[in-house]
Amino acid sequence: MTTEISTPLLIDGQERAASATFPVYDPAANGTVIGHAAAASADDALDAVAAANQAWPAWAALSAAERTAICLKALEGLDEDADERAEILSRENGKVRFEAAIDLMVFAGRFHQAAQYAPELDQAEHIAGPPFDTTITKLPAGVVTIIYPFNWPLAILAASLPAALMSGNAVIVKPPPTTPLSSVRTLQHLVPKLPPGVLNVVTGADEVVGPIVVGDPRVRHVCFTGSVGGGRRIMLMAAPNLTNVTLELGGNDPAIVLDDATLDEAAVAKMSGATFMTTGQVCMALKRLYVPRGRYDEVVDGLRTTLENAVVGPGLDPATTFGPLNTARQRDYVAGLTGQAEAAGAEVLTFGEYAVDAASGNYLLPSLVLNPAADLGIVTEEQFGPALPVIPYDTEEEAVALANSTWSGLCSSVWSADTEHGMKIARQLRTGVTFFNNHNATAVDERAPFGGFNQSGIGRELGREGMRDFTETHVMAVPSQEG
Amino acid sequence: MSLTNDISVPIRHPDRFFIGGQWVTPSSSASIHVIDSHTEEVYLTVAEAQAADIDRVVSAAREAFDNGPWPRLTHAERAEHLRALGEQVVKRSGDIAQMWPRESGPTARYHQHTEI
Repeated sequence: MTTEISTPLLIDGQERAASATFPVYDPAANGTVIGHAAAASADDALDAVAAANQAWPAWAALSAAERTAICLKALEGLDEDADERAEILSRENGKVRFEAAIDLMVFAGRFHQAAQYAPELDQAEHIAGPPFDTTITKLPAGVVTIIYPFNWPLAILAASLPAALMSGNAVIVKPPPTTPLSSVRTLQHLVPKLPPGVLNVVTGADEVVGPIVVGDPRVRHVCFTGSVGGGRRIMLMAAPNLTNVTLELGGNDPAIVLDDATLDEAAVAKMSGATFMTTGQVCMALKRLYVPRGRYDEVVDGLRTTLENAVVGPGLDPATTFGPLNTARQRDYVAGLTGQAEAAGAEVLTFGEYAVDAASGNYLLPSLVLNPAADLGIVTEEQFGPALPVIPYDTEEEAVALANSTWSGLCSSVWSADTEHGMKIARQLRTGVTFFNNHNATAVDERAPFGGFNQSGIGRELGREGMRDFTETHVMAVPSQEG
Repeated sequence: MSLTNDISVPIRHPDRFFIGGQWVTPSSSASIHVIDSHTEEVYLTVAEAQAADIDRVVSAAREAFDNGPWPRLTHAERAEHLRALGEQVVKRSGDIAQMWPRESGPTARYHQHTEI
């Protein structure tokens, strides 16, 4: 595909060509422009806020069941150009083609999942008196802004968008600056089928759009998925108006292999995939691996087997198993962490080969960092790339303490053949989710709330909790009539 | 009932902080005057925490959460502690009914109607 793609803003039900655009680059080919997205001006962003603010009361006046039906109907026709959109996503993100297709499937799937809970919002809760006959309802926040990252853009957008819409809010979507094209192309299907202003999309520079779609007093909830630093900036921008936030931020997820873990080929393949999927660029990737000293070599050998045939190349090449990192900055950061570990005496094993000139894109071979000191960046920081520290431990107490001694708290995993044993360890882990004999996005129970402890975030997405996060609780307390 | 200026405050250690299960000496002699809403005179002087005291209290809470028994009790066990606490508050409600009107202004009558 050589045609350049260009995408508009979507405001108040209309496509709008902004007065400026910004280029979207191919991470697999330095300097190659895939297309251009509209660069919203401050006025465009203000128009999106105004449109959403105008739209939400009528949308909120529908029942949740009606809104849910409209949202599901808006998905119709998404399949028609799914191949084209997956290709665009693969090109702008760098990810392998089949992952891009999965991203699009998850987008639709999460609408259907949310549709199972949304109609419950029509059922008020009652507390019978005396002293009061009280009715408790969930009202929409009003205008909601959703900001999300490049790595699994449509799946992550759909962790919140269906809940925000079905619970009665009007939404402003701010797509990721490096991968906006597949998002706008997808949302172009939905916008015409929703009342004008209920769903608005503004691509553009963070510093122009952000202060308005986050900081405008008419915006009542901001849902941000991205880096810890980004989350901090969002919260500061939301603070002057006490705008509510849901933050899904970075992680430094620990995995604890217990001495009774089954580590056959299938288990190790899962472990490897959980670490290196999307070239390691996933918030809930396995990022620190704790292994009993007695099984250390076995784990390293197993992972080696999964990595030695790695093919690092363009995401659209069917032979590629590892696409490029999304940005050169991130590639350099990860290479810096492994370089630092090596200089400090840790053994760094590098695997696979480049299918193309390594310098032609943001490429990096996958690696394992063996026996790193606990204070090295590869252990303490979120690498967000294809490098995994493998850390031996002697006692389970030590493993739990190491796993918990972090700024993060997104997900964790326990690897054991004995569920009881695994649960005993899991109960001690301070993360939003603990997986068993698996890790990362493929292990998520879509019905359950998802989110992190500590600096991995605030609030929850998915499940009933994710739906409630976009509502305000309204209590109507009527004094009971005297008998 | 009559309000008097009798400054007998039923607080055992207004010059200390309760940190980590003990009455401890503050890091400084800084204090806060609590003004009687009725007389606008000083009713009681209590210790004022400085950064060092805050460090100490946050560390104590962190230690209690990370290594103490409280977060590892069952909800039912914690409820037992809270009930015992509540009983003590009820026992001392006469004292509290004397203090609260002075420091914040509501009537003692109001307090007695809203006590636990």
